[in-house]
Amino acid sequence: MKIVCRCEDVTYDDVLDAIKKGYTDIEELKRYLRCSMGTCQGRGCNRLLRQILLEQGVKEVPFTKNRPPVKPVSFFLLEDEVEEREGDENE
Amino acid sequence: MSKTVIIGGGVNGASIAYNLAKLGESVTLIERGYITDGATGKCGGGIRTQFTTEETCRIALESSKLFDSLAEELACDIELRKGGYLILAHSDKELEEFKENVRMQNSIGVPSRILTVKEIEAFGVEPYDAVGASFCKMDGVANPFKVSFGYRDRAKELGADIRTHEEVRKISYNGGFEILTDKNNYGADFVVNAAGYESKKIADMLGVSLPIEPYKHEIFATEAMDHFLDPMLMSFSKNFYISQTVRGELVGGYSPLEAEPTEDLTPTLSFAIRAKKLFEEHLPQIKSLRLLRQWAGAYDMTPDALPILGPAGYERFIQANGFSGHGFMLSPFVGRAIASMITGSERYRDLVSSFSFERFKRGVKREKGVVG
Repeated sequence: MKIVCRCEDVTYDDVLDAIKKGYTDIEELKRYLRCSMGTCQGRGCNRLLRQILLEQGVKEVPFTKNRPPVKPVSFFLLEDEVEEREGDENE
Repeated sequence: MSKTVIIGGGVNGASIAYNLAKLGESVTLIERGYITDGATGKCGGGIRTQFTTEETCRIALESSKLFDSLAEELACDIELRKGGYLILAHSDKELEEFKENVRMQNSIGVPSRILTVKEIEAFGVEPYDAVGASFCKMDGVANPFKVSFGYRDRAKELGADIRTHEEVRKISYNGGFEILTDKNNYGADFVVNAAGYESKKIADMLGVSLPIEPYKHEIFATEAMDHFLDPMLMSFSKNFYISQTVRGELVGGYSPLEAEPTEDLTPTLSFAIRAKKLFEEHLPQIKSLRLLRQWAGAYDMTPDALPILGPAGYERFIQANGFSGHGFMLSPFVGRAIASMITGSERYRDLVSSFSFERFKRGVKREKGVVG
């Protein structure tokens, strides 16, 4: 068995099945399979997903749109970071 | 040629396509992007029956019941979890309004009730400034992608023609409708306008003016954690909602109360910070969680925050839009009601009559239970 998305347990065969059902837009495929929607946010599997679509004859496959903050960020840190930056501006 | 052309591949377009195909009707669905590309794919996945207007409660109740058997009907896991909606009251005045709402809701069969501060705590929620709450166990969450793709897959199997990545450019009427896209030309007896906030642009093509405006709403998802939050936690006066999905992620949204219509859907850092500050008052666990992603979608707001269901301008130009943030939760009902309307059945006529386009000529009363 070939694994494409480790976060969401998506296999190569899952991707092929979805493409057969007509899901050939990488954004749609991502939402259909949840591939690239797990903790890694696609950093692990987005290239593989794209490669499979190209292999299957889909032309012009972009990478999926990135959602901020791109890499998971602790809510706790996020706030500290911003307050610090605002403090810098005041100085 | 299909009898019906649906414009818009959100959850409502997909639900209408499925319900028509199930009745043996010929139907074509045209979507500019992909299925769930618009507001459906940005929404929080909530299912609620606690509204402030009786007519909305009635259709929300029908819809909530349909969700219970939807996984079986669509033969797919829709990640439905009915942990209820817990709506916080932050003042005695608000709590009094909730008591009135609950009386009305109970009178039509919505099993909502008032909670004390102690009962809020029992749900694992920090009351903070809450003086009470309204709760209904029929409410919950499901996965909007699973539901939409479920409708799409079954509709396709039943013979519906699903066309994605195709944009409607022009519609004309001459006894029947003619729909021109960037790729094809379609004839149809019925056109269903289910294009979210862009339904206004679609209706403009036929010279019909819909009172719909887009309002931006931001939302986030955290990494998954062990299950700790049963209900969807919500506040009307602070304008937020947050729930834990079957998968363990917290999904929450908050919007400033005073906002202007816009088509700009850029996510902002200030949203993430403000949302965190609001949520940690009631769910201190959130501080230690990681924010996985954030995005924004548009509510298709009408003047009374209620949907437009039924014809507008032309007898067979059917609207399924203006959901004002409640499109996903109403979609099982809307699919049935619109399909029934097109096939000439009277079954849902009374239930949808309050949502006619004509009501705007008479003047309207606003649904106050809008959040996010």
